[in-house]
Amino acid sequence: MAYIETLLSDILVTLKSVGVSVSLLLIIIGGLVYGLAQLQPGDTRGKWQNMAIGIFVGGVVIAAIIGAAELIQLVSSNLLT
Amino acid sequence: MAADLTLAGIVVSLSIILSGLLIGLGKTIGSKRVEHFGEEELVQSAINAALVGAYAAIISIASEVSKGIAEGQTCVAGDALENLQCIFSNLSADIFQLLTQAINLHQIVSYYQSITLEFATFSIQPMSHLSSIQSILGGQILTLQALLTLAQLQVQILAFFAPQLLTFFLPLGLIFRSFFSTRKLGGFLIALSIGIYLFYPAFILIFPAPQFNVTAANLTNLTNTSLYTTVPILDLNDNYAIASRFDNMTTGDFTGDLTLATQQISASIASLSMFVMLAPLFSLLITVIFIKEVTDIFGGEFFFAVSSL
Repeated sequence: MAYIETLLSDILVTLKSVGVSVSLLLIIIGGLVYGLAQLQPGDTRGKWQNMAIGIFVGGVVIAAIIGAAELIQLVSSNLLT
Repeated sequence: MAADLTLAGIVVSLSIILSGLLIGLGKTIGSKRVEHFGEEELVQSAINAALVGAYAAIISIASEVSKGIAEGQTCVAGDALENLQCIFSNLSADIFQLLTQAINLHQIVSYYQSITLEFATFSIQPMSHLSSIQSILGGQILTLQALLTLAQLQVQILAFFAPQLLTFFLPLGLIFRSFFSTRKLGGFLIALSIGIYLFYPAFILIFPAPQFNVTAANLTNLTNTSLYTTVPILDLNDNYAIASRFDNMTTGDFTGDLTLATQQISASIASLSMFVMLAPLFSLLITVIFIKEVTDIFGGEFFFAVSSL
């Protein structure tokens, strides 16, 4: 049981760091795509902007949930007690 | 064996982070399916965290309810499962006593039934009519033996489940339920532990416990009475001694006493069958229905989980 616990803890730490990296990456890519959208012709600019906002929001949501994961767990664990 | 709930906490955290990643990636790639899956996982993680957090409270409530079920039928101080185990244990001892007495009676009947008196010109077997009672007693002994096995089986099953349900199966269910790929199995294990801990003993304890003290006392009197004791080996060559014994037995109404004994054993077997065989079957049926329903509530799938096991 201790082995599984250690293994899962390691996976958790890795996933957290991966999540933070992915989140930052998406926010930066979102910014870049938004910037590139300004260079596009008027008929395709909206599409690029939507994509950029989607990527940016995705990054923010990942950062928010990963950052609040412990808080979510703590609050949820006290729901029934 | 007790499962550690720290593991459940880690799996819940893992599930929250994974759901966050899924929601974020779903928004990024514009996939509503991935996003919804992530949202559902987040909600399930919150429910799991709540269940894990309330583990101590769940155990405390379950124990109190179980003790409440056992009230009025207290065999030992403890919950319903411990009481049921104690009742079946005592019942096994009583069945064994009845079985021993039935075997003694069967020996006496077999002995007299086989005796033949040899005279110069003819021979007679005055107790040959006892063969029917001998057959009845043989059947009753086999039934009592089967009931003793079933009672012992109950003791063994309860001894296995009683210490494991709340300390192993329930935490294991919470751990499995925390992760989406094992959620169905987890839900089933939670339902199983609550069902067997509360419902199984409750629906057996509503049946009246069999009482056969009168039958046991009558059988003891019958097998110990001097009128029906077997003839000493030294007297076996003496037809007159045997004939005199047969005469005594007629005075005591041997056949009548045997008929009454078989009737009393039959009544005891009927009452035992209800408690040892029908009550557990009835209770098991109710428990399985309960487990199936609760498995659905906990997000599991009964037949999938049973086939997984």
